[in-house]
Amino acid sequence: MSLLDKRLVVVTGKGGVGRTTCAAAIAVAAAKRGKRACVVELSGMGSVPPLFGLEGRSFTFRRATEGVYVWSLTVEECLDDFGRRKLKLPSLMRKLFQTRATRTFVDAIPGLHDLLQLGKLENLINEPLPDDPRFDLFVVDAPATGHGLTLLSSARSMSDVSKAGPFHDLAQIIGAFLEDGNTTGVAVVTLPEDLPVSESLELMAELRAMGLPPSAILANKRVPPPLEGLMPLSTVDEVIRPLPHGAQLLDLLGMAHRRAEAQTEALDRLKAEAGAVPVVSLPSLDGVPVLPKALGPLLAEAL
Amino acid sequence: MSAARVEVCCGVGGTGKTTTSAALALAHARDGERVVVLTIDPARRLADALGLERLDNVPQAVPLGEGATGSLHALMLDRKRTWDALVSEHASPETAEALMANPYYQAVTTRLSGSHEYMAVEKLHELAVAGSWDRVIVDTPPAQHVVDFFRAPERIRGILDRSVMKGLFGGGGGLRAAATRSTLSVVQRIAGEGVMGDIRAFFDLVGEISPGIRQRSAAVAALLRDPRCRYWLVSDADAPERNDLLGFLDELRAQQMAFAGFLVNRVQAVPAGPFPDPDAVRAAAPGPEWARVADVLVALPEAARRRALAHRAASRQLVRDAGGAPVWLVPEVTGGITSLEGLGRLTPFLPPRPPTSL
Repeated sequence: MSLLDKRLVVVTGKGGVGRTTCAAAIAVAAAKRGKRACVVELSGMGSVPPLFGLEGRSFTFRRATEGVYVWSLTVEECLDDFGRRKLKLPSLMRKLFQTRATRTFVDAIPGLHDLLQLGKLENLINEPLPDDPRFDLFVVDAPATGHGLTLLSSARSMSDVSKAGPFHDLAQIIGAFLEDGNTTGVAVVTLPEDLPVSESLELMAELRAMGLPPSAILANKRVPPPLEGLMPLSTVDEVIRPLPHGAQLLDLLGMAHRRAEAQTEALDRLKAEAGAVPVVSLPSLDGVPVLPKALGPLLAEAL
Repeated sequence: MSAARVEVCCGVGGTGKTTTSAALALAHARDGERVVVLTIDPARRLADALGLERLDNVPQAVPLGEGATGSLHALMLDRKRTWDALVSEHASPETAEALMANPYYQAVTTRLSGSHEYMAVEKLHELAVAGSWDRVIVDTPPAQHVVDFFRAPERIRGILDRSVMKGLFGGGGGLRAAATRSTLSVVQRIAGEGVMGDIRAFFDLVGEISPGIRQRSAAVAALLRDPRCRYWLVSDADAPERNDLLGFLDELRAQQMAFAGFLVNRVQAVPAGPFPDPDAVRAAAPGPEWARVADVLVALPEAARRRALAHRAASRQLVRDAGGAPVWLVPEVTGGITSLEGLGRLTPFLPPRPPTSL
């Protein structure tokens, strides 16, 4: 099943690999297939809207481009949602959620923020109310901390703390929701470099152990060898070396070539270890105004 | 405060902070100092590069080779063990045992966000006052915002501080207490009695150690503000994360903490040249397919120069926005760092060598 046919995609990966850009590109790819997709931010950082040239954060969902929306979820609204839908508390009682004491309490429970936010998405997907926005796909940009595992293991960590009661029930629901491969997919973003590839292979092993095997791997910022498919380096060397200052030019060529070769090796290793999981290589693009719109069609083609 | 100098490497994830911390440590050790580097989330390769089997929660000696006058030790933060040590230090054996068996304690120590940062600072304090080191170098946990490093300890203290929770669980009277009790009833309803029981037990136990922890956190806070403790901002040449870095700098300055400078990784060197005349390259055609090859070749020096200049311009802008600060540009190393020699290739471009003039 293609990643783009899921209802929820959690995008994981270490900081600096372009995780947020890839999350936005996945939404664009889904939109290319005629779906209505929403990129969800859980951190309140507001880093998604600028990727589409929008200003400010979007605490309510907002159109970014054809078929793509952006939404920054707050813990407050997700807590309120939990009280309303799962606990069926009246709004007067939910007002007490907004007190400082409740907030301190909610902050003090590990994984609760993550769980409440995933809970809201689960509600929107599995039990939508008439006034809820309808999306075919939610793409969640997982926080960089712990490469996104903290978010995905929030259900498990809550089960450790809470053996019974509403949080326990919520954790059970979210655990099953995440493990349902027909609904939820995990995308791992990495770079085609030695170290990031090793780290993402470790991440994939951990995801499998959690019962959340990745549905796709995105190797971002690929720079192909400068003369790929044109001419062997040795021939170029023979022609250029005799020229005045030819050696300096060959040095530059050699450096660019080595950088690309290292990427090729890393990519090959990633593909060999990934088995049946599709590995999509995304190019490093300079001077593109809206990066997700350039990368989205490539993903739509590959997934 | 001991005589140890402290260098804290801050920055968002993916900028090469861990490697930079290790290279800084190596540079100072080679200058004859007794140096220890605390890493947070090291890739296995860093241990290999340092010639160690594995990194542990206690400092291990890195073999520097013949004739070295200084020494280098490395350790990796183990959150759980650092928490346990802190608790054992401040609580009676019975309390410590009960606390460590509490499910909520286990979740707080390993999963609560901010716990990682707080333990890094705690470990840093332990190393700084030990008296065994001339210099302590600290890598910081990967965070979305660099300021999280300073805010998290406060947050953890806030959560551990019994007075915050006392209102929720303790008695008392009056209108405010009544309001708190109604909040408690809501909280109880959303959380369930099981969780509340564990949490109540946790805070009862924490009550015993909280004066000790509060005292310790005051000492840690004083260390972070001591002029001997300096902060480096590590960034990547291609993704300088300007706003985040400048936000962090504002925070440092507002707190009167010592900012030491920017360390910019993976900088493209300005191509030395001279290069062959483009026309000569085009004219060298050995066959019909040469035209496209020549296009690629003649564009290489310009592309490298543009990238090098863009890196420098971004660094200059960073320094200007920061209102002036020293900056070290560290060149890109192809093939990664796999040995102490590899790490040594970075040290000529890092402190204590002089900064780059832009």
